[in-house]
Amino acid sequence: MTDEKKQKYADVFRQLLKTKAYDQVTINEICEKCGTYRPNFYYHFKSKDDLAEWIFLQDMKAVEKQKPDLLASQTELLEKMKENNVFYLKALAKKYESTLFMYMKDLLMRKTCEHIDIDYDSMDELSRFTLDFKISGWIISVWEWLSGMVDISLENLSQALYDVFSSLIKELKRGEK
Amino acid sequence: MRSISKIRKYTAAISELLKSKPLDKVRISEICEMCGTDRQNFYYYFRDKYDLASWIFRLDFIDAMKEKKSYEEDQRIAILEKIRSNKMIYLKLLKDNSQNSLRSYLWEKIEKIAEHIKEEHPEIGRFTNEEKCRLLLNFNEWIESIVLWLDGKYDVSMQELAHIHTIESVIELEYILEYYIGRDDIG
Repeated sequence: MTDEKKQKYADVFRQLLKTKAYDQVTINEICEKCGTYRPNFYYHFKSKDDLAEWIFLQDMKAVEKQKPDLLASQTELLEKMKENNVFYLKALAKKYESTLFMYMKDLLMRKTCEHIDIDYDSMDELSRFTLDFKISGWIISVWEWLSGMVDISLENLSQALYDVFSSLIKELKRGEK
Repeated sequence: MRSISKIRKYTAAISELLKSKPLDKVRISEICEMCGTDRQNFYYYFRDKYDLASWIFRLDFIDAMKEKKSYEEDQRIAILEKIRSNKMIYLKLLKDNSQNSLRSYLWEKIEKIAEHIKEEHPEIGRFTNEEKCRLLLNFNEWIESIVLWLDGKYDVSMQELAHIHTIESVIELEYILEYYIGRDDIG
């Protein structure tokens, strides 16, 4: 029942983030609220950042089941992120400096390549650059949407992100040929 | 009327100070001291120091547009040239995560420019919600591409980047310039 335990840590962490900044939450505190001790936490996770990454991965996994329809799964991912609003806003508050940002970027870049069956490591420089700034733009736009900086509906946002993504895929495929 | 040469004096001062400290550590009194002005004069010109910092880009933009008048791609190369020659400062400002970052100031302006286009040139864009989304994404991609390029993580030339910006941009540079020049009481 490892995942159940992991889920418990995730729930407590998210709960603590409602009243504290990301950096202020300590592992001791998470353990205390879970009724466990540090060795148990470190059995499941390498660090607090590792726990944050796991939370994102769960949200990703939950939507990946409906794989063929990219637009629908992306909309669902955005819904999940909206539900998890506080967590994402705080974990990504330091943008480039947050490990979650880098993790999400890397994961989304690789998933994109996987989706269109292109080998990430053999991509040419310009394609890799394009993929990188588009995915970064995706994460930051979503963050800004979550923070309420822009007043856009979830459907509009998802459609716009999807359009960008579709043309990116076309571009990358063309680049590979 | 605010004088452009005075604004240049202020941007030169803040640029100098940004070489040794982050923007949130820069004090308005320091800036004024370097310019031989006082706080009253500062606030006549700018809302706050973040507003002043955004003028670094604004002046670079206006200068680049004046240098190259014909093709959008050339104008974009000129803009990137100016950004690159001020690399350290731009990286500092663009990577800033605070609420008053250059990013949020530029976005605020972009929203106003979209409003301006909607009013003055309705044939070009109405900026529906979908278009607003495109604009946000396009804006963030523009910033991210510049940050990655300045960081030197990819071997991408200035020409290649200017080309990407030209084909992907949602708003033409002319309208941004028109807004920048036409809307302010700058002489």
